[in-house]
Amino acid sequence: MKPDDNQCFRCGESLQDNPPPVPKGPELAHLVTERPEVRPMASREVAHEASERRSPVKAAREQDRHLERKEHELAEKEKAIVASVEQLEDDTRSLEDAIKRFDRDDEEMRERENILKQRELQLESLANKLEEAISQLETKPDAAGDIERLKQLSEDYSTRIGEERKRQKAQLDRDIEERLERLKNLQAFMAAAAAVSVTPREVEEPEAVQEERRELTEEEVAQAVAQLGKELEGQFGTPLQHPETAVISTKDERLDFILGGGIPVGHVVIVNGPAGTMKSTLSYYILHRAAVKSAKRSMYFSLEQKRDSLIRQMERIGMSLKDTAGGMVVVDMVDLRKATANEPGDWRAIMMRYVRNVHAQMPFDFFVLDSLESFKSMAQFEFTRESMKDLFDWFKELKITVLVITEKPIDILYQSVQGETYLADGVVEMQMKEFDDAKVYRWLRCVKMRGMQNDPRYYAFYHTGTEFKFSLPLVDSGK
Amino acid sequence: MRTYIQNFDESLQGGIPKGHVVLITGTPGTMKSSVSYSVLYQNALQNKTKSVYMTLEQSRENLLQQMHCMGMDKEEVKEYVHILDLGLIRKSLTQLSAKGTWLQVFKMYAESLKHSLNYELLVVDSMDVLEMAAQMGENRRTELFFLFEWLRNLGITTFLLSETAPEKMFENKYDEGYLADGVITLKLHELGETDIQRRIRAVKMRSTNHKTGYFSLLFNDGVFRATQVITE
Repeated sequence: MKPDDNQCFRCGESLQDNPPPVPKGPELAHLVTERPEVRPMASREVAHEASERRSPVKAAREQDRHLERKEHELAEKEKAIVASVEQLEDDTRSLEDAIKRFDRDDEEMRERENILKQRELQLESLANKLEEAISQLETKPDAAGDIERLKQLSEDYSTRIGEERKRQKAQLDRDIEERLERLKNLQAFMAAAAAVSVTPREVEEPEAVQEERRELTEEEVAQAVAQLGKELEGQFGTPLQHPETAVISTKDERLDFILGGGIPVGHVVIVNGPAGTMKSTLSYYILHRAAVKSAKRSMYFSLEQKRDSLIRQMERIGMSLKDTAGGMVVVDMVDLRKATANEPGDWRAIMMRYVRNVHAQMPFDFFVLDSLESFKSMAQFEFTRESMKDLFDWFKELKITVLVITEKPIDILYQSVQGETYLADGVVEMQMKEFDDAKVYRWLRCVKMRGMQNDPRYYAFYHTGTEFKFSLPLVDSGK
Repeated sequence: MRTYIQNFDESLQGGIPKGHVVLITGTPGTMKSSVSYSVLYQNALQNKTKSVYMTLEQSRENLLQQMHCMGMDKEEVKEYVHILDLGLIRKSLTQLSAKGTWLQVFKMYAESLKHSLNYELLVVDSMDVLEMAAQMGENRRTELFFLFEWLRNLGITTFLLSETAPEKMFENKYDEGYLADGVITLKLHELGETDIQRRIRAVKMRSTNHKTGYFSLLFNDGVFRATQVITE
């Protein structure tokens, strides 16, 4: 048995312990460590940037993995490039051969032309000789018969010469055509080869600029500090301007009171509560009231419930979309899928682009995201605090007031790594409270509302079929 | 250093000793930002103390708007209280820098600011974000220790806002409670089934003989008040 055999020579069984040596690819590690990826210093667009940050340790690990992947990709690319270069060399060689062949053909052709000319000359001289012979014969009367025969012969001869000429000419034409065809092919081939040799270079270029994530030198730190100072200069001693704090009233006296007057424009408010606490209904209620009573436009973005089902549900409790005269838009995932078919990017980015486009066409004041959990799960990557912050910043950029519905229990939400309750401007918590064996009430409290003196107490609430009623709970707390 | 939270200073024997690093912890909605801003605001009004409020997440505009709504918006304060939004810089810096660089830049900036402004009070909102930006890893405690030391050496009184729930403050995971000179916790206290009150409590304040109990925290017309809790 030879060392390279992967089958037993006797029984034919494969020898798994002794696999055939695999040819190794070119060593490329050094190329990779010298140029890992670079990141732009300027903050990128929120939508995309949101996607790419993680917790530090994870980020480092991620970075490592990323580098490894990059290394692998580079190796693959290098292989491809080497292959294409080899191919190119082969092509060039065959090209050279073709040109040589071409030259040979040319020479051959010329030779044949020469031969043809010589033969023509020979034929002509023969014809001349014949004519001479005929004229000589004409002088001899007894040879009249012969003359006739000879004339016949000479005519035959000239026709045959004509035929021969035609044939040669056709042959030449065909050859020339063939040669032209071959030339055209060659040209096309050259163009293709040029394209192949250019593309890989283009792919390689951006990697060449890549820089390592590294410790900054002292100078750079000083620079960064100076830059920081410059950027923040404008923030010193500037008067405490009071950006006009418009507050959107919910048009429900009691609810406004609980919130401390309403929801300040541009706030991102978390509406939290377990299933069945009427989070969606309350959000819808606020939007609907705002649309009907103060002509505020709004968008309800449902990632879970179907649009039709939601609209029907709300119609049953006296909130018809028709009352809003088009001021309120309800969108679900099906709509979104239709509107963004064939678009690249992950769902989250698509969704954000969609909302932005709608906002550009029909600026709305209120936005409801139902729910944050589904939104998080739509992203294909880990959702970090920074992503959350970016999302909220993005809402603020649009200058819309946002209600974000979440289902996680509030205690878990407080501990959440994404810190949404800290990032949000307001938190409204809804609960089911059970009393005795049979009574269950829905309770609500406004835990947080930046800039407002909200009432942090619990309120019991119920829906009358047309509107919400809030009241301080009538519970004997002694028991 | 008085906090100008009525009745709370008395419980601290006059206020927070200068040069202390004080943690203010609480869940969302417990008015951490408002309380700490009020300390800066009142100190500026009463003693013309210079101070810097560094916000790492909430935007400056948003914060100003919030304080305006709370009635803390007197014009004369602008000379003394500086709100700086480090959020954007944080974004650009964390992307390019290696671990530790952010903190280095932050420290150098705060130092140069100390020279030019000579502020006496610093609020960092919030510490959790600072920690994240600084990418503190396994030796969090060591790094925090050096950070706190450095803050003390600056000769300023510092308030660090922390998002840790007060009950968890002294669990093993969180070392800052042990490292800080003072811990003030804020919470929403559920009274019986329905009522909720804001509470403030000085859990720890080195070199003072402070009262340890909870006080109700009330807010009216831009002034905070702590009162004895009255229950049942």
